[in-house]
Amino acid sequence: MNGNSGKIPEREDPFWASPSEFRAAMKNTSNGPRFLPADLQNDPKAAHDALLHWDMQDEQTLRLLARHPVHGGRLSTLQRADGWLRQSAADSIVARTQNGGNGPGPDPQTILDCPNADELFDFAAALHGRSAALAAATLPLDRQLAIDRHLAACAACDGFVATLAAAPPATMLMGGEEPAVAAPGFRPAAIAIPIRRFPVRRLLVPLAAAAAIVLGIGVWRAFTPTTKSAWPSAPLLRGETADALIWPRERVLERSATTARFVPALAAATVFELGSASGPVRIQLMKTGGGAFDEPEPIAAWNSETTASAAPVTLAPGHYTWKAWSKERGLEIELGSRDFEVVADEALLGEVSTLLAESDSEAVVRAIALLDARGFRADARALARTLPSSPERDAYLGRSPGR
Amino acid sequence: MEELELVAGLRARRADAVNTLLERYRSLFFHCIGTFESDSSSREDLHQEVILYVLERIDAGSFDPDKGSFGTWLYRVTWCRCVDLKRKTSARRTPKLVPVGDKIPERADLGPGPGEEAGTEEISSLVNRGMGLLDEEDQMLLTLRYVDARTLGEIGEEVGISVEQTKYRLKRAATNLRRVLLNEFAIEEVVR
Repeated sequence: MNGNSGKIPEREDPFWASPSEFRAAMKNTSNGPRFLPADLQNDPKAAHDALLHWDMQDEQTLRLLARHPVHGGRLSTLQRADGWLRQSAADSIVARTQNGGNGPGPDPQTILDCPNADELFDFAAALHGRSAALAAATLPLDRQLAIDRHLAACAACDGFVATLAAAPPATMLMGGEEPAVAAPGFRPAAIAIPIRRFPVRRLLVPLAAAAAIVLGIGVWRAFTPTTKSAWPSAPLLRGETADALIWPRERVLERSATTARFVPALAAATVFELGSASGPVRIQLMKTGGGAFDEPEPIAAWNSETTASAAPVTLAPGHYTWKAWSKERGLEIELGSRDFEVVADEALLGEVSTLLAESDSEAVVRAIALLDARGFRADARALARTLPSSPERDAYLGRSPGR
Repeated sequence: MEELELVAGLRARRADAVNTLLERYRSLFFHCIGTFESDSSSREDLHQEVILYVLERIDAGSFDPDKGSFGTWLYRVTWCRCVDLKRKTSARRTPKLVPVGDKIPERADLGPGPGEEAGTEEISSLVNRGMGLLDEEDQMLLTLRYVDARTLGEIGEEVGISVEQTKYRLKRAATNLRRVLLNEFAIEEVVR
């Protein structure tokens, strides 16, 4: 065994280490591996990381990896290797129950069959040490052991249990409301907690430094002209950018006479944008009822040589799904599908129109920010296209839907 | 709105209760759903599906306030529903195909075909080669878990570590094996 594996790394005194405010507590980027299609195509390190943690990737990333001429084979072999290990575990379970030292054990099928979701939840809650918080019932020990063995043989159930490794915050489970007073029957901890001597001098120095920085920033901002309106930043999404179908998504304003009157820039048909496609594309547009089980009804289909094209039909308010295929080496490859909703929102049109009526050139940026913030990001982009090219405008139009 | 009042309102399908459920527990639903679906449209669809299911379960009297808070129960119901739907989807994606017109044998031959047999041997030798390049602890952990099908507790006892450490180190050992296999591919490609 590796002698160093159990060693706990040395920790610094928190007071002399970098203060927690030294860097932002949250990064703009996701902590987990998250990959753009271009990363997987062009960046060998990103592809290597994605393959290394293939069981943590979303379906879109896995699809992209599987389609890649080099990584596809590697992914398949890694998946087969994992399958082989799990099959070994299944074989061992069968052998153990049939030829155990104390004679035949229980039917191996009771271990090999996937446990129901409730049992899996109880097992995961116990495994991750929060049975009191999450599990309403407790599993008998022999069932816990059976499920534990089952996880060695079943990748799907193993993955499900892993999703409960991070518990939801307690306030979320309690409905997000902090109790104002202690509930009846609540008793404070019986053990007295010793009061530690407060290191006043150690605390005062960083506090004074922080106050000086805040004051400095305040003075600087007070004397800096702030007439520039902020362009909206991309929201933090997970797995969104791995899809080839970029816009429209979420909500889109209806292209009606009212829209044309209020905001002429939004009179043109909605542009359907794809992130990447190496050949001509075919797009199909379907209308849906907006429910999970509604059957989509095809209403239009068109071909395009470029990654951006306008729908040949006028879209009435309602829910839609669009699908796209790309033709590569004579084969049609499905790029995915995306939902969006067309909305008639006169109040929003009025707000945008009021902003656009201002002579201030920054008003358009404020209108773009307003549309973006309300989820009409395809419309915000349409409005941004009407502006002359600038680094901010080009960065906004060139960005992916999520950070 | 108190929990019990909310549950009673949901049973009666009162609009204010449904709105409270959707607003107050939105982050809880999406926290859970987010671990199963990365695409926002699919998340919305799943959210709708889960809400309908929650209402069904409430009608069936599944929520027992003596066993825990409504939020805890909701998280459990949401997670279980997501697992069931994922399982259904995977089952749909891997249908067992039978050629039309072919005589269906009375009993399916579940044994591997010749191609599969050769593939299994190849992958077995690759994994064994990869395991040989891992350090002793990683080899031991992977062997105990996947060759002997031992539980996490049994492995922890054998190695002398806690169950928590066993989980972590097993995950690390599996990743190390993948790293070795990926390096093997890279070497093979250079040699070719």
